[in-house]
Amino acid sequence: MTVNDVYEKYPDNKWVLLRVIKENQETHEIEEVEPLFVSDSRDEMYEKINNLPEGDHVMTLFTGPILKEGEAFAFSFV
Amino acid sequence: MSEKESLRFDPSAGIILIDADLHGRVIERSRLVFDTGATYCMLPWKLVTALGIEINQNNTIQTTTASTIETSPIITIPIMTVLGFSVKNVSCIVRDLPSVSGVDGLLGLSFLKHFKMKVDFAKGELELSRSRRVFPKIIL
Repeated sequence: MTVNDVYEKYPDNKWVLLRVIKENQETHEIEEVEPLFVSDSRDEMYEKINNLPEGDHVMTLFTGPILKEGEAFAFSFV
Repeated sequence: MSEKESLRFDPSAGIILIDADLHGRVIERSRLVFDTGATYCMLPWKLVTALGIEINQNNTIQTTTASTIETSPIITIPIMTVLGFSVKNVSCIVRDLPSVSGVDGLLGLSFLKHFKMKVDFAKGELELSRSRRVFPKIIL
């Protein structure tokens, strides 16, 4: 599946660990993935990564929304 | 991959969020705030550690925020991909945002300086295109 498919399949604040099946070697865009693990916890996902065999080509992403209504963001670094 | 890519955003949201794929030991898709006021990209400790990038506490930079001046480690991300554009060796400072913010960090000028940008709040559209002086798809 594509990365966009992952967002559709797991729409509710999930951390998803994916095996990268196909990556464009020129642009480094990820073109095809396979879900390996889905969790509500980022730490759980990182634990899973640590237990993967050496050399596994994997990707992580979060599917949830970010700011809630009434929240704002103010942060800049110089 | 075209010369120009665009992102739709919600102008009423108060921030512009961009997905950035960070290539290290793993590829992490991070959600960063588009921030032309930030000299460097900024990423949290946990994410950088998961990428397998060593954080050298002796390699630091002084950073000025709206309220304080602090010292933060600086690292290099081997490849960062945003909207299909890849840049190699992007300097980032390592610092956690409050977890309540729900975003990973900032997409600052250490990445954005390689591009032309157009932000149209009426349309809710951010357009990124390669600087004319830079032709390769992957910018070194």
